[in-house]
Amino acid sequence: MEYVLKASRLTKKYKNSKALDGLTMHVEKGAIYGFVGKNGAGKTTLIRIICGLQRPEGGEYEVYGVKNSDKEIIQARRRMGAVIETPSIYLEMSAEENIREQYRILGLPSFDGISELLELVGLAGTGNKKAKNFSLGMRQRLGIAVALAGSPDFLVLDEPANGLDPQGIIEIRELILRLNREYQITVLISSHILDELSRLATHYGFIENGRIIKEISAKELEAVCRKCMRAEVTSTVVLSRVLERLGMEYTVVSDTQADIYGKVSITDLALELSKEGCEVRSVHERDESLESYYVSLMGGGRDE
Amino acid sequence: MSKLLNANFARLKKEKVFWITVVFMVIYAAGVCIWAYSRGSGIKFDGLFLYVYGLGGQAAVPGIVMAVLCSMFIGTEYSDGTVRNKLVVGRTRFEIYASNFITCAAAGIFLNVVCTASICAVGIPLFGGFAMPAGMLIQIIITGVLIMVSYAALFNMLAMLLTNKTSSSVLSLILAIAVMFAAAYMIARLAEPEITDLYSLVDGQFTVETGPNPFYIGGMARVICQVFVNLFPSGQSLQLSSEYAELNWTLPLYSAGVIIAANAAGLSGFIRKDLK
Repeated sequence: MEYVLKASRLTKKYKNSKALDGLTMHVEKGAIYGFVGKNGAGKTTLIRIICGLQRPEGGEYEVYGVKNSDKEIIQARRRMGAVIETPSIYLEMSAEENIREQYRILGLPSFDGISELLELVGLAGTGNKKAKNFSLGMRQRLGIAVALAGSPDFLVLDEPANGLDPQGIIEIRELILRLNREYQITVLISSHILDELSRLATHYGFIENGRIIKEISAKELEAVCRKCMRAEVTSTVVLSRVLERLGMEYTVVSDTQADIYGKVSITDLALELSKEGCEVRSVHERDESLESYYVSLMGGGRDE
Repeated sequence: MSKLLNANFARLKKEKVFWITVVFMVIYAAGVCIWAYSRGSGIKFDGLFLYVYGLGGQAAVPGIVMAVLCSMFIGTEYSDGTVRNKLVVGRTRFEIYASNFITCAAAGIFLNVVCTASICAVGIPLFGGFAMPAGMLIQIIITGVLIMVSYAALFNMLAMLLTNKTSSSVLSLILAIAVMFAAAYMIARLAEPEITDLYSLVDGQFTVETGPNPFYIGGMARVICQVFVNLFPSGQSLQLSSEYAELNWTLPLYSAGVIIAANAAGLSGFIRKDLK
């Protein structure tokens, strides 16, 4: 398995609060890695660290197999592009001038490809209009164009859909999918919009309190979600005991309801429950979404 | 580094504030010449040439101009977030800091050249040419250039460490003005004679006696004040402008020290700084 990014036991403190607390994660080459977590969970801190804006206090990370402690990390970062929080663009410049400026920073020998890049992000017709007069969606797309100026293999996007209208969200989604499928760019994308992320991501990393609590591929997630069953019984206390005995993964939803993951024989379960005087009222398969998976993973009942 | 310099200079050419400061320096230099000419007294061009460095010892105009230019130019990197584009694509912090300093220093030298050219273009036809020896003129020009580079080093340091365009602009201006006033006051006190005429009113009659000047600064305090006005570029500007400065290599040496110290401190802080 080839990884574009590997992080191991990363730690970072801001004054007294731990932003990262031993975070370990793996971003596979060619993936769209959805980075999911609450506000303050540590998503942006991790992104800032891998982009070289901040230094970790402990642990290490590798970009294309190069450790952050190696001098070659500078060269490895040249294969990256990033839009962190807000798009990094000169507001007093036009879209083309912004990309020209980034070409100069990269030291590219000519300005060839700028019109294609603007075409790709849908900003070809903006002419001399300054970025300060762009809509949020246009700025976001310009930020991505600037990040793409060096033809990166790895694109890092921090909340790219934040503040966008539905049309803007669709445009960004289509752009990311196109970059991944047509240009084989690996994408690390952090987002709060789980439904939107579920349309894009091939892999997920769930972060809470500065730690990755689960990494899972979209296929695995789909498999797990399909095998979820919502059982209604007279006592979830008894159900829990039986499921523990059977070695099943489950989440208690209420006093009478629980979600059971993985394959389960309903007959065997009903017989086991019956032995302990617990009655099965109903069982139905649930097509669990990313959102419900996230909620169950984070312990449920809490706001995102 | 050359790539970042190329990008910075391309941006500087498009920077409105830069062109505003260029136009201001032209108007300022021409204005000083016309004002001096309107007074009609026998002003020498040499004196006028020194006068523009600090409005005759009253205000270090180039310092205020550099405070505005550096804080606005560098501050944009943070307010627009574009400093991240440099780091993300693998430019080192040293390269970023050094290229910003060199750009500000070059802008300062360019402003100095514009001001010098303007005062020569307007002043020489009105007052005649230089009377001072070429060696002294070169020394003054080098001192003036190093003053601008010192300003660039100090204001680049503030802008790179504060990371907030408004804060760095306000603080740079306040510091430039505060140091300027402090230096102007100190230069005035340092210029006081040790012995002076003391006037007193006795029985309704003014009497004049010669005695120690109460405003004279002596001993260690004098040394400290002299170091202060030599150390800061505003102090150097005002010394040149009021013709208080001894024209030797002392001021350029102080400038070189300030440039090295400010860049070392700024770079050391910037390398450790967590950016957002």
